[in-house]
Amino acid sequence: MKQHLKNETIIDYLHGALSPQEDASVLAHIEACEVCRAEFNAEAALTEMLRSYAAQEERELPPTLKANIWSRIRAAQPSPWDRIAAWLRPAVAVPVAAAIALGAYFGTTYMTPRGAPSIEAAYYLQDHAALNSTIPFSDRSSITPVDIENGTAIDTTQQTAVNVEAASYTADATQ
Amino acid sequence: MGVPRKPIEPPSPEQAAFLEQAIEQYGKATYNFAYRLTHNEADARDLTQEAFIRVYRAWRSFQPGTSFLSWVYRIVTNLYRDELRRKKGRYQEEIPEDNAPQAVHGDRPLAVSPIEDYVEDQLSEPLARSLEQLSPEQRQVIVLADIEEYSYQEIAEIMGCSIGTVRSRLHRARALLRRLVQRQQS
Repeated sequence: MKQHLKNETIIDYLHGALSPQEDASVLAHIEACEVCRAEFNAEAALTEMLRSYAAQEERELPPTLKANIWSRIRAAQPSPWDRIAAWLRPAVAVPVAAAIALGAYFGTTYMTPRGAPSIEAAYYLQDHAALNSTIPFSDRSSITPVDIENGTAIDTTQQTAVNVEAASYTADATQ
Repeated sequence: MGVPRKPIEPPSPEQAAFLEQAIEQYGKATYNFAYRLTHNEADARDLTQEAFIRVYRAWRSFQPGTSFLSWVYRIVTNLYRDELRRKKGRYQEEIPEDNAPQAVHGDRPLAVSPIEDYVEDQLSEPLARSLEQLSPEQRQVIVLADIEEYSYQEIAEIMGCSIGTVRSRLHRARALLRRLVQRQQS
Protein backbone atom coordinates (compact mmCIF):
# COMPACT_ATOMS: atom_id res chain seq x y z
CA MET A 1 0.00 0.00 0.00
CA LYS A 2 1.25 3.43 -0.84
CA GLN A 3 1.69 6.14 1.76
CA HIS A 4 -1.44 7.58 3.27
CA LEU A 5 -2.71 10.86 1.95
CA LYS A 6 -1.83 14.02 3.77
CA ASN A 7 -4.67 15.74 5.53
CA GLU A 8 -3.99 18.85 3.44
CA THR A 9 -4.45 16.87 0.24
CA ILE A 10 -7.77 15.53 1.47
CA ILE A 11 -8.95 19.04 2.31
CA ASP A 12 -7.88 20.31 -1.12
CA TYR A 13 -9.66 17.35 -2.71
CA LEU A 14 -12.80 18.13 -0.73
CA HIS A 15 -12.72 21.71 -1.99
CA GLY A 16 -12.04 20.78 -5.59
CA ALA A 17 -8.67 22.48 -5.54
CA LEU A 18 -6.60 19.71 -7.13
CA SER A 19 -5.69 19.22 -10.76
CA PRO A 20 -7.74 16.59 -12.65
CA GLN A 21 -4.87 14.10 -12.46
CA GLU A 22 -4.37 14.63 -8.72
CA ASP A 23 -8.09 14.50 -8.17
CA ALA A 24 -8.40 11.14 -9.90
CA SER A 25 -5.41 9.77 -8.03
CA VAL A 26 -6.82 10.85 -4.64
CA LEU A 27 -10.20 9.41 -5.45
CA ALA A 28 -8.66 6.07 -6.35
CA HIS A 29 -6.62 6.10 -3.16
CA ILE A 30 -9.60 6.92 -0.95
CA GLU A 31 -11.58 4.10 -2.47
CA ALA A 32 -8.78 1.65 -1.80
CA CYS A 33 -7.46 2.87 1.56
CA GLU A 34 -9.64 2.54 4.63
CA VAL A 35 -7.57 4.90 6.77
CA CYS A 36 -7.69 7.69 4.21
CA ARG A 37 -11.37 7.07 3.58
CA ALA A 38 -12.06 7.52 7.28
CA GLU A 39 -10.06 10.73 7.25
CA PHE A 40 -11.93 11.97 4.21
CA ASN A 41 -15.28 11.13 5.84
CA ALA A 42 -14.30 13.07 8.94
CA GLU A 43 -13.39 16.12 6.88
CA ALA A 44 -16.56 15.84 4.81
CA ALA A 45 -18.61 15.55 8.01
CA LEU A 46 -17.06 18.76 9.33
CA THR A 47 -18.04 20.58 6.14
CA GLU A 48 -21.56 19.20 6.33
CA MET A 49 -21.81 20.29 9.93
CA LEU A 50 -20.68 23.80 9.00
CA ARG A 51 -23.24 24.07 6.22
CA SER A 52 -26.15 22.84 8.29
CA TYR A 53 -25.13 25.16 11.11
CA ALA A 54 -24.98 28.08 8.68
CA ALA A 55 -28.44 27.18 7.34
CA GLN A 56 -29.83 27.08 10.88
CA GLU A 57 -28.26 30.40 11.69
CA GLU A 58 -29.35 32.12 8.51
CA ARG A 59 -30.97 35.46 9.16
CA GLU A 60 -33.28 37.68 7.25
CA LEU A 61 -32.14 41.13 6.31
CA PRO A 62 -33.28 43.48 9.07
CA PRO A 63 -36.23 45.46 7.67
CA THR A 64 -34.80 48.80 8.72
CA LEU A 65 -31.41 48.20 7.20
CA LYS A 66 -32.19 49.52 3.75
CA ALA A 67 -33.82 52.64 5.14
CA ASN A 68 -30.80 53.19 7.38
CA ILE A 69 -28.45 52.95 4.44
CA TRP A 70 -30.41 55.55 2.52
CA SER A 71 -30.69 57.88 5.48
CA ARG A 72 -26.93 57.69 6.05
CA ILE A 73 -26.31 58.40 2.38
CA ARG A 74 -28.64 61.39 2.47
CA ALA A 75 -27.02 62.62 5.67
CA ALA A 76 -23.62 62.42 4.00
CA GLN A 77 -24.78 64.40 0.99
CA PRO A 78 -23.95 68.12 0.88
CA SER A 79 -26.56 70.66 1.95
CA PRO A 80 -28.06 73.14 -0.60
CA TRP A 81 -25.68 75.82 0.67
CA ASP A 82 -22.72 73.48 0.20
CA ARG A 83 -23.85 72.84 -3.35
CA ILE A 84 -24.10 76.58 -4.07
CA ALA A 85 -20.72 77.18 -2.49
CA ALA A 86 -19.22 74.36 -4.50
CA TRP A 87 -20.75 75.79 -7.67
CA LEU A 88 -19.53 79.27 -6.88
CA ARG A 89 -16.09 78.15 -5.86
CA PRO A 90 -14.59 78.03 -9.36
CA ALA A 91 -16.50 81.15 -10.41
CA VAL A 92 -14.95 83.08 -7.55
CA ALA A 93 -11.67 81.32 -7.11
CA VAL A 94 -10.49 81.59 -10.72
CA PRO A 95 -10.83 85.40 -11.07
CA VAL A 96 -9.36 85.93 -7.61
CA ALA A 97 -6.38 83.73 -8.43
CA ALA A 98 -5.91 85.54 -11.75
CA ALA A 99 -6.06 88.94 -10.00
CA ILE A 100 -3.49 87.84 -7.44
CA ALA A 101 -1.19 86.53 -10.17
CA LEU A 102 -1.49 89.76 -12.18
CA GLY A 103 -0.98 91.87 -9.09
CA ALA A 104 2.11 89.92 -8.16
CA TYR A 105 3.53 90.26 -11.68
CA PHE A 106 2.94 94.01 -12.06
CA GLY A 107 3.87 94.65 -8.46
CA THR A 108 7.29 93.09 -8.85
CA THR A 109 7.86 94.74 -12.22
CA TYR A 110 6.91 98.33 -11.47
CA MET A 111 6.92 98.71 -7.73
CA THR A 112 10.47 97.59 -7.06
CA PRO A 113 12.68 100.65 -6.17
CA ARG A 114 15.26 101.31 -8.85
CA GLY A 115 18.76 102.81 -8.75
CA ALA A 116 20.01 100.83 -5.85
CA PRO A 117 22.79 98.81 -7.36
CA SER A 118 24.08 96.02 -5.35
CA ILE A 119 27.60 96.34 -4.03
CA GLU A 120 29.80 93.61 -5.24
CA ALA A 121 33.39 93.00 -4.27
CA ALA A 122 34.63 93.05 -7.89
CA TYR A 123 32.93 96.36 -8.57
CA TYR A 124 34.44 97.85 -5.41
CA LEU A 125 37.98 96.77 -6.36
CA GLN A 126 37.65 97.94 -9.95
CA ASP A 127 36.39 101.26 -8.75
CA HIS A 128 39.40 101.76 -6.53
CA ALA A 129 41.82 100.57 -9.18
CA ALA A 130 40.34 103.11 -11.57
CA LEU A 131 40.65 105.89 -9.03
CA ASN A 132 44.26 105.04 -8.30
CA SER A 133 45.20 104.90 -11.97
CA THR A 134 43.80 108.38 -12.58
CA ILE A 135 45.90 110.15 -9.96
CA PRO A 136 47.86 112.76 -11.88
CA PHE A 137 51.62 112.37 -12.29
CA SER A 138 51.67 109.03 -10.68
CA ASP A 139 51.64 105.57 -12.17
CA ARG A 140 51.25 103.85 -8.84
CA SER A 141 49.06 104.19 -5.85
CA SER A 142 49.59 107.14 -3.60
CA ILE A 143 48.93 104.89 -0.66
CA THR A 144 52.14 103.78 0.90
CA PRO A 145 52.20 100.04 1.54
CA VAL A 146 52.58 99.13 5.17
CA ASP A 147 54.25 96.09 6.62
CA ILE A 148 51.40 94.84 8.74
CA GLU A 149 53.52 92.78 11.07
CA ASN A 150 56.02 95.53 11.85
CA GLY A 151 53.78 98.52 11.27
CA THR A 152 56.44 100.21 9.13
CA ALA A 153 56.27 101.61 5.66
CA ILE A 154 57.58 99.38 2.89
CA ASP A 155 60.23 100.76 0.60
CA THR A 156 58.48 100.30 -2.75
CA THR A 157 61.63 100.94 -4.81
CA GLN A 158 63.33 98.07 -3.01
CA GLN A 159 60.28 95.87 -3.54
CA THR A 160 60.26 96.71 -7.24
CA ALA A 161 63.90 95.64 -7.51
CA VAL A 162 63.10 92.35 -5.81
CA ASN A 163 60.20 91.82 -8.21
CA VAL A 164 62.41 92.51 -11.24
CA GLU A 165 65.02 90.10 -9.93
CA ALA A 166 62.38 87.43 -9.38
CA ALA A 167 61.01 87.98 -12.89
CA SER A 168 64.44 87.56 -14.50
CA TYR A 169 65.06 84.41 -12.46
CA THR A 170 61.78 82.98 -13.70
CA ALA A 171 62.70 83.84 -17.31
CA ASP A 172 66.08 82.06 -16.93
CA ALA A 173 64.41 79.03 -15.49
CA THR A 174 62.01 78.72 -18.41
CA GLN A 175 64.85 78.94 -20.91
CA MET B 1 -26.16 28.98 0.00
CA GLY B 2 -28.95 29.58 -2.41
CA VAL B 3 -27.62 32.96 -3.36
CA PRO B 4 -27.17 33.60 -7.05
CA ARG B 5 -23.64 34.63 -7.88
CA LYS B 6 -24.60 36.13 -11.18
CA PRO B 7 -23.10 39.52 -11.77
CA ILE B 8 -25.38 42.39 -11.08
CA GLU B 9 -26.07 44.46 -14.11
CA PRO B 10 -26.49 48.13 -13.45
CA PRO B 11 -30.12 48.58 -14.45
CA SER B 12 -29.57 52.14 -15.47
CA PRO B 13 -26.94 54.79 -15.15
CA GLU B 14 -28.63 55.88 -11.99
CA GLN B 15 -26.64 55.27 -8.87
CA ALA B 16 -29.73 54.93 -6.73
CA ALA B 17 -31.20 52.22 -8.91
CA PHE B 18 -27.93 50.31 -8.76
CA LEU B 19 -27.91 50.40 -4.99
CA GLU B 20 -31.56 49.42 -4.76
CA GLN B 21 -30.96 46.36 -6.88
CA ALA B 22 -27.77 45.47 -5.04
CA ILE B 23 -29.52 45.51 -1.67
CA GLU B 24 -32.50 43.66 -3.03
CA GLN B 25 -30.46 40.85 -4.55
CA TYR B 26 -27.46 40.60 -2.25
CA GLY B 27 -28.41 42.34 0.98
CA LYS B 28 -29.39 39.19 2.81
CA ALA B 29 -26.31 37.25 1.70
CA THR B 30 -24.06 40.14 2.70
CA TYR B 31 -25.74 40.47 6.06
CA ASN B 32 -25.37 36.74 6.73
CA PHE B 33 -21.74 36.82 5.69
CA ALA B 34 -21.13 39.72 8.06
CA TYR B 35 -22.98 37.88 10.80
CA ARG B 36 -20.86 34.75 10.34
CA LEU B 37 -17.73 36.82 10.68
CA THR B 38 -18.83 38.79 13.71
CA HIS B 39 -21.43 36.49 15.24
CA ASN B 40 -23.13 39.61 16.43
CA GLU B 41 -26.27 41.11 14.90
CA ALA B 42 -25.48 44.72 15.70
CA ASP B 43 -21.99 44.48 14.23
CA ALA B 44 -23.30 42.57 11.22
CA ARG B 45 -25.86 45.34 10.64
CA ASP B 46 -23.20 48.03 10.87
CA LEU B 47 -20.86 46.17 8.55
CA THR B 48 -23.60 45.60 5.99
CA GLN B 49 -24.71 49.22 6.07
CA GLU B 50 -21.19 50.48 5.67
CA ALA B 51 -20.49 48.00 2.87
CA PHE B 52 -23.49 49.17 0.86
CA ILE B 53 -22.59 52.79 1.39
CA ARG B 54 -19.19 51.93 -0.12
CA VAL B 55 -21.00 50.18 -2.95
CA TYR B 56 -23.05 53.31 -3.54
CA ARG B 57 -19.98 55.53 -3.60
CA ALA B 58 -17.89 53.23 -5.76
CA TRP B 59 -20.61 51.86 -7.97
CA ARG B 60 -18.83 52.94 -11.14
CA SER B 61 -15.81 50.86 -10.20
CA PHE B 62 -17.87 47.67 -10.30
CA GLN B 63 -17.14 45.83 -13.52
CA PRO B 64 -20.20 44.22 -15.08
CA GLY B 65 -19.51 40.60 -15.78
CA THR B 66 -17.68 40.05 -12.52
CA SER B 67 -19.22 38.68 -9.36
CA PHE B 68 -20.97 41.37 -7.40
CA LEU B 69 -21.09 39.17 -4.32
CA SER B 70 -17.32 38.66 -4.36
CA TRP B 71 -16.92 42.40 -4.63
CA VAL B 72 -19.19 43.17 -1.70
CA TYR B 73 -17.65 40.37 0.38
CA ARG B 74 -14.25 41.90 -0.23
CA ILE B 75 -15.60 45.23 1.01
CA VAL B 76 -17.06 43.55 4.11
CA THR B 77 -13.78 41.73 4.74
CA ASN B 78 -11.77 44.93 4.56
CA LEU B 79 -14.22 46.80 6.76
CA TYR B 80 -14.15 44.02 9.33
CA ARG B 81 -10.37 44.01 9.36
CA ASP B 82 -10.29 47.80 9.76
CA GLU B 83 -12.82 47.58 12.56
CA LEU B 84 -10.74 45.01 14.40
CA ARG B 85 -7.64 47.13 14.03
CA ARG B 86 -9.45 50.23 15.18
CA LYS B 87 -10.96 48.58 18.22
CA LYS B 88 -8.00 46.52 19.23
CA GLY B 89 -5.06 48.48 18.02
CA ARG B 90 -3.59 45.27 16.78
CA TYR B 91 -4.71 42.45 14.62
CA GLN B 92 -3.63 38.86 14.72
CA GLU B 93 -2.45 38.37 11.18
CA GLU B 94 -1.40 34.78 11.39
CA ILE B 95 -2.45 31.74 13.23
CA PRO B 96 0.09 30.57 15.81
CA GLU B 97 2.38 28.02 14.29
CA ASP B 98 1.60 25.40 16.88
CA ASN B 99 -2.13 25.73 16.24
CA ALA B 100 -2.60 25.65 19.97
CA PRO B 101 -6.27 25.69 20.81
CA GLN B 102 -7.22 28.67 22.83
CA ALA B 103 -9.04 28.50 26.11
CA VAL B 104 -12.59 27.37 25.61
CA HIS B 105 -14.13 28.73 28.75
CA GLY B 106 -11.37 30.97 29.98
CA ASP B 107 -10.30 34.32 28.64
CA ARG B 108 -11.30 34.89 25.10
CA PRO B 109 -8.47 34.88 22.63
CA LEU B 110 -7.29 38.33 21.75
CA ALA B 111 -8.20 38.16 18.10
CA VAL B 112 -11.72 36.92 18.70
CA SER B 113 -12.90 39.22 21.42
CA PRO B 114 -12.89 42.65 19.76
CA ILE B 115 -16.41 43.19 18.54
CA GLU B 116 -18.12 40.25 20.09
CA ASP B 117 -20.28 41.00 23.02
CA TYR B 118 -22.91 38.44 22.31
CA VAL B 119 -24.55 36.38 24.98
CA GLU B 120 -22.49 33.35 25.75
CA ASP B 121 -25.34 30.93 26.23
CA GLN B 122 -26.62 31.53 22.71
CA LEU B 123 -23.72 29.43 21.52
CA SER B 124 -24.95 26.16 22.76
CA GLU B 125 -23.77 23.98 19.92
CA PRO B 126 -20.25 22.61 20.02
CA LEU B 127 -19.59 23.92 16.56
CA ALA B 128 -20.67 27.43 17.47
CA ARG B 129 -18.46 27.39 20.53
CA SER B 130 -15.59 26.06 18.49
CA LEU B 131 -15.99 28.65 15.77
CA GLU B 132 -15.82 31.28 18.44
CA GLN B 133 -12.35 30.11 19.34
CA LEU B 134 -10.99 30.69 15.88
CA SER B 135 -9.25 33.88 14.90
CA PRO B 136 -11.16 36.22 12.54
CA GLU B 137 -9.09 35.11 9.58
CA GLN B 138 -9.53 31.43 10.38
CA ARG B 139 -13.28 31.90 10.67
CA GLN B 140 -13.35 33.94 7.51
CA VAL B 141 -11.56 31.37 5.39
CA ILE B 142 -13.81 28.59 6.68
CA VAL B 143 -16.95 30.61 6.00
CA LEU B 144 -15.82 31.40 2.48
CA ALA B 145 -14.55 27.92 1.61
CA ASP B 146 -17.03 25.65 3.35
CA ILE B 147 -20.22 27.66 3.70
CA GLU B 148 -20.07 30.06 0.77
CA GLU B 149 -18.25 27.46 -1.34
CA TYR B 150 -15.84 29.81 -3.00
CA SER B 151 -12.77 28.49 -4.78
CA TYR B 152 -9.31 29.16 -3.37
CA GLN B 153 -8.76 31.68 -6.16
CA GLU B 154 -11.94 33.58 -5.28
CA ILE B 155 -11.12 33.51 -1.58
CA ALA B 156 -7.65 34.87 -2.33
CA GLU B 157 -9.23 37.77 -4.21
CA ILE B 158 -11.74 38.47 -1.45
CA MET B 159 -9.19 38.28 1.36
CA GLY B 160 -6.45 40.01 -0.58
CA CYS B 161 -3.85 37.28 -0.21
CA SER B 162 -2.25 34.52 -2.26
CA ILE B 163 -3.81 31.14 -3.02
CA GLY B 164 -1.03 29.52 -1.01
CA THR B 165 -1.97 31.60 2.00
CA VAL B 166 -5.61 30.62 1.59
CA ARG B 167 -4.65 26.98 1.39
CA SER B 168 -2.45 27.03 4.49
CA ARG B 169 -4.96 29.08 6.48
CA LEU B 170 -7.76 26.72 5.59
CA HIS B 171 -5.73 23.65 6.51
CA ARG B 172 -4.77 25.08 9.87
CA ALA B 173 -8.22 26.44 10.59
CA ARG B 174 -9.91 23.15 9.85
CA ALA B 175 -7.38 21.16 11.86
CA LEU B 176 -7.96 23.45 14.82
CA LEU B 177 -11.72 23.38 14.38
CA ARG B 178 -11.80 19.60 14.33
CA ARG B 179 -9.83 19.43 17.55
CA LEU B 180 -12.05 22.00 19.21
CA VAL B 181 -15.25 20.26 18.14
CA GLN B 182 -13.94 16.93 19.41
CA ARG B 183 -13.05 18.55 22.69
CA GLN B 184 -16.51 20.10 22.96
CA GLN B 185 -18.18 16.79 22.22
CA SER B 186 -16.11 14.73 24.62
